[in-house]
Amino acid sequence: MLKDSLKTVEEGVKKLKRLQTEIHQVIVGQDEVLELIQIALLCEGHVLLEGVPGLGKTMIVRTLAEALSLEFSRIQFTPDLMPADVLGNSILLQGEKGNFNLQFEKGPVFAHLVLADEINRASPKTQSALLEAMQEQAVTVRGERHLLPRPFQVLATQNPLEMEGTYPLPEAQIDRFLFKVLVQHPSENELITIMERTLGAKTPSCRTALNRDELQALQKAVREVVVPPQVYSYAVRLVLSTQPEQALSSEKVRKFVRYGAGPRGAQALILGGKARALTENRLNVSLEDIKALAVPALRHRLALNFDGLSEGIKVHDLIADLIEDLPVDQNQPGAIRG
Amino acid sequence: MIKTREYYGLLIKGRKNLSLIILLSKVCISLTWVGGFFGLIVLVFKWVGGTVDIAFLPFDFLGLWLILTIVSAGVLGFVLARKEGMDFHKTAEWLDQNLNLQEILSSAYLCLERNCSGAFDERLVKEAEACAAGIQSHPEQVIKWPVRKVKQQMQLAFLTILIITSLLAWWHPQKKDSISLQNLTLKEEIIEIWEESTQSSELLMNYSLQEVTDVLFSDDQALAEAAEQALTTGDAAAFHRALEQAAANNDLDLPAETPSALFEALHQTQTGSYQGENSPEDTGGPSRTGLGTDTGALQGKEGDGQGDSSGSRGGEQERASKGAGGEEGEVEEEQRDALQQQAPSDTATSDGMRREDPDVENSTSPLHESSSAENDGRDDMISSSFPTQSLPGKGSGKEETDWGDPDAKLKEQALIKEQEDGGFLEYLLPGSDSTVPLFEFIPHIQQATETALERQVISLEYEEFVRDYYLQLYKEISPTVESE
Repeated sequence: MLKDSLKTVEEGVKKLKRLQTEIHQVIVGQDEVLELIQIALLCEGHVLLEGVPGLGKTMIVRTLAEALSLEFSRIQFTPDLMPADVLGNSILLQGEKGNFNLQFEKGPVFAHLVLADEINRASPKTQSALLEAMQEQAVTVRGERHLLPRPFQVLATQNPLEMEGTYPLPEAQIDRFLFKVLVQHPSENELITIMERTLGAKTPSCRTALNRDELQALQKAVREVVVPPQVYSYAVRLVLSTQPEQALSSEKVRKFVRYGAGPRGAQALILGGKARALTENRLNVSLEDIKALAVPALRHRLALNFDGLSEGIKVHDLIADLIEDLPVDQNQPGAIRG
Repeated sequence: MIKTREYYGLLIKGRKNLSLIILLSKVCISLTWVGGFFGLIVLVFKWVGGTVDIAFLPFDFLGLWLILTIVSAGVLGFVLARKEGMDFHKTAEWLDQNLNLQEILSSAYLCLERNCSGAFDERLVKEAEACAAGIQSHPEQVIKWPVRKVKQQMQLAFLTILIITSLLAWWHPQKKDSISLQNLTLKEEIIEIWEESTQSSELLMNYSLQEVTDVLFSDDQALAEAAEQALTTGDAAAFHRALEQAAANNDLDLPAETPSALFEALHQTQTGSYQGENSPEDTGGPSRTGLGTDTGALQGKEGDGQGDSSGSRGGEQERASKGAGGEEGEVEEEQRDALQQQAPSDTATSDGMRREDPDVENSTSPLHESSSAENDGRDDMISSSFPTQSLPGKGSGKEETDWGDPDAKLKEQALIKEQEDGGFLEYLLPGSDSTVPLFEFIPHIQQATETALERQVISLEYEEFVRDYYLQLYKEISPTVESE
């Protein structure tokens, strides 16, 4: 059984590489975004995408769903969007015998991959409804619990430009996202390629690289990846160093950070590290995995204070400094430490 | 069964090497701190021991510091290294990090600890085994000796040892004058006199008789008293016995000529008839205590014009000026004849200066025939422990025909010997005066003095003083020569 499991995992890892290739048939560039989304998918975690309009955020999610043969739905959040518009509602339907029954009509959240576009435009009530569904993996309407399909991943987007009339996600809510990924502008060459692909006669498409069962097997295998003690220690110390009240924190953190990452941040680091190790065909998490995922996993969990905002401190620079300064061999004797 | 031979082999080797590095590091740190700490203490001891004459330690400061430092640093380093011991997990962790193995070794160790109960554990252990096999084939790449931090610690320890060793080897605190230090110098001088028999007895001029006897007979108060008594009464035999006993007690080889030489020097000094360096009053040089103070009394005698021939240059100058009279040429002629006629075998011994029985009147030396003539004669007297080149003085007027037995009691006699280099060696007795012209023997004396300066028998601080003295002397004898 173990051998089968290993074999499945090995095949699944190969298909993951093919998945990347297939997605790149449609999406140009955005390698880091795709990698993080893939890792989050393997972790069954949700991703917050932040970028200006027109960078292909919707296209990425749609293409991913196509390459994975998963159900995809897109919810455009507007200020007047109601929770029922997201979760679904019970509607009155007439039966064959003429009786009226309430039937739950599933909302767009009932999909494998849900794109919550401009989530910060919806009211807090609607946001909460979605976030609750994300957390519970189920929707409760009129006392009736409806499970969401598996795998289930929400990719929410935020527009950093139009902040007027928006409802920024509260920090407690934003903590539920595994990663926050910044979608950057494509480079010159990438933009040329985008033009060639999208403005030509042929519409780019991708083939299925991984089915749902294989994806679920990989998601299960991620949990089996081995984490040595020093990696746990490093992840925890990294998270603690973001908290200004902790002894591990740096002077900069104490000066500019209002509050730091919590336990979910450490979970995101470890789980994400496991998934990343698996995508690289490794069966154990390394310190490099933690370092690579530190910024996307922690950037939305730190809140700057007024001094930090006024000084123009960048959170990802702060985290990068923490990674550089935090020793990896703290438990080693002094003589052989680096 | 999963193979883990290479894996554990790598961990064992790595742990051993890392433990040695840790031990080396702790020893270096201990050497630096312990070496500096003990070095400071020993330096303080050295300073105190150098300025105060107290023997704190039975052996050399440098040796003490080395022993203390090496032993303490070794023990402390070992204890600290044991405290920070390396286990397999830490070794695997270190290897993972330093060889960029992406934590495969430490993950495999975790799997082995939990008996490979996880889904991927066996696979992970196999990968670790393969990785370890690859590393074992290139062991020199595993651990580079020494690691950077240990290198710095070694440099620091080396620097500390270098500084402390330099200070201990070359720093000599100023010594204050003390009786014990003087005694040490005196003892060294006496031992040199004993062993080489080449030093002038003028060295003893710096010390009192009691000081000399205290050093010679420091172990035995009874011997010291007996020697002092012998010197006072002039009993050379008793002094010799005491000296031989003292030599035996101190396990020193006593040359045959030494007892007589010492006896004569000490006795003459005690009785004030010893002729040595100038007195401070005459030459303005540094004052001397002890034996040299006797010259003060002698000076007084010379000032009276009594012609006391010991010690005082002023007296000698007076005598020289006296000798610049008409008799000078006649005496000189007689002196030369006497020197030529003197038999070489007369009382030739290796002792120091001879003393003759003043009652002996059958001396063949013409110098002894007249009461005012100085004593002269050849002698095969071997330069003694106290070779002196003294200005010849007038003899006591008593005749003598031979040098006499060196062990004979001291009598008031003048003994003159011509040196091989043409100089004269005369032992003048109280009341005697030299008849040899100054200009004949001053150059020899000057040469002897310069030799003594070169050998630092006389301290170099007296160089200027000696030079000025001879310049003044030449000025004074120049009119005398012209008048002749």
